[in-house]
Amino acid sequence: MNRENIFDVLTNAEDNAMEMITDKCPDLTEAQLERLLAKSERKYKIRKREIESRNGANQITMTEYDEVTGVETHRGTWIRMVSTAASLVVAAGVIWGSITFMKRTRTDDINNGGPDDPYASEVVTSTTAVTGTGTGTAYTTIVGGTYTTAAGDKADSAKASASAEAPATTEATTERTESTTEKTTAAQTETTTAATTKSISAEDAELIARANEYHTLAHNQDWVIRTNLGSVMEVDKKPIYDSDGNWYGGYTLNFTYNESGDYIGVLITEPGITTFEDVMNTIGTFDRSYYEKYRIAFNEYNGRVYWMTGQRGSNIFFTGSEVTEITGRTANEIIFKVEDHYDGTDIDGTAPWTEEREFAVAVQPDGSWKVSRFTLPN
Amino acid sequence: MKEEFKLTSNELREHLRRSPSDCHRALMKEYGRYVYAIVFNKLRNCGTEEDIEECVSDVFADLFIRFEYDDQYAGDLKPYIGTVAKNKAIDCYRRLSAKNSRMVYTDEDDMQELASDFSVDDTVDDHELRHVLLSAIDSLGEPDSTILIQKFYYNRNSTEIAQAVSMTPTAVRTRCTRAMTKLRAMLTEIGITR
Repeated sequence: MNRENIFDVLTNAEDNAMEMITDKCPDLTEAQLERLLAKSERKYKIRKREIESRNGANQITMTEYDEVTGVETHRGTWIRMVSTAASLVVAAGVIWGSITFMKRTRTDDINNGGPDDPYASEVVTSTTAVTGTGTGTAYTTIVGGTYTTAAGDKADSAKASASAEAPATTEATTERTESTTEKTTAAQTETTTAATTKSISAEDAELIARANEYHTLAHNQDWVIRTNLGSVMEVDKKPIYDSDGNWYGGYTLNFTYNESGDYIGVLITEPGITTFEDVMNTIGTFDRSYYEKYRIAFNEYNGRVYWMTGQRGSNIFFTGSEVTEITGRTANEIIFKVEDHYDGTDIDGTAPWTEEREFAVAVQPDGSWKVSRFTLPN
Repeated sequence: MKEEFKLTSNELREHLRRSPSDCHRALMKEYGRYVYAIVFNKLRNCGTEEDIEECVSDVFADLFIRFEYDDQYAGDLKPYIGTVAKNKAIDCYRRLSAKNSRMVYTDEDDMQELASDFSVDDTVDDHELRHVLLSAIDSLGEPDSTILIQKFYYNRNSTEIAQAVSMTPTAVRTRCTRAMTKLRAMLTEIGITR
């Protein structure tokens, strides 16, 4: 066998060979160090933002697939239950708020609310905590009915159901809505701004709030499928040893190859999961019509199913997403508009901008939802 | 040029508490070369210099996050960092391998011929060949072993190597040619010939 460059044999060297190769590695230049540090810091800040907004909503602690942190504990279905429960709590808070608004609105009608009335109508926002991977900021939606609070309580009420990052955004949005005037009815709020008139029924507001939760869930589960499946089901891992054979308590993914040396994936060892359909049914978020797109991330081989890990880069300008309105309905699907927000002010001075995309849920016979249309933000 | 790593996990934790950005800089200064070497080893045949730097920055971003959110970690930093770097590099390799592009050689293509076209018995596996090759290079001593590795493995040019070994570029080229001659003779003795 002829080798084009004999030194190519050093590629993919094992640990003991790597020691000499590493010793001979050229030093990083100052320019190279600064360049690498700047890139690393940028990526670190983006991921930190994603983690902290996700942790604020559903208590999922980010771990990478190659977690090296000591005794490995089983993180299975309870994580999904906790995140779902957290989502339901927030949704319940929004619904409670809507009902409260409605009741107070009727009271206002009776009292002929006006500037001097202690229950003066204000367009106050019910904060929808849109959190999760890439949705780090809580945005607000205007809920049906008026919100009668004592003066000064408006911001506090809005903050009550928001994530840790919400306050700044909530206040900004509140300022925006303060400039509006509105008329109330028992069932609807009509808000007139300088640019747009928006009318949202209480029922639609509830659907939008619920859609925000499902959108966050879809975003999180998409990330899990692509990069962190081990957080929701058992996958094949092996202990990590250093070149001296010492084990420091950490594990890494065990990659499987076939007899020809082709990469098969990481074996999913969760009991009862042997096919791609088993995986998607366990995750449970996505409708069958949609989840086929994830088949490429899995490999069925010899009666088992393997996970092909893979990462997607982040857009450093992305700051968050929000489901804003219902754009269509069919017999068993509801379609929403999602607004993705970007801001390069702190990065390269690029002014904030917004992009739109579609999100949809398939309503199941029992009334539950499964995501039927979802794409990640650009 | 044996590297001594000074930052311990406790010192790291303390440094993080005081100033995360300073801590990140210290980590990069101490382990940047080590991580670069690991990533380079995986990606040298399928990625560009930009791909390698992108992967290195991914590794450090990952480390910054881990050290900030995983406060239960206690242990030697080097194997931990090495493992994260290796796994990240493997992921990058998979993404890039479809392109199947080779590293761009330096402009000194004529010198690359010295390392090319060696004939190896098919029964010799890569592990054994690596061991043989590295042992032979190591036996040449310094600065020849560094010159050869940096020239033919890290694809540095003579000017860059000259700065590392405190010689002139011309001297590096001369020593490189002589070192390869010696290496070739050693490899021929064990059946690896041109």
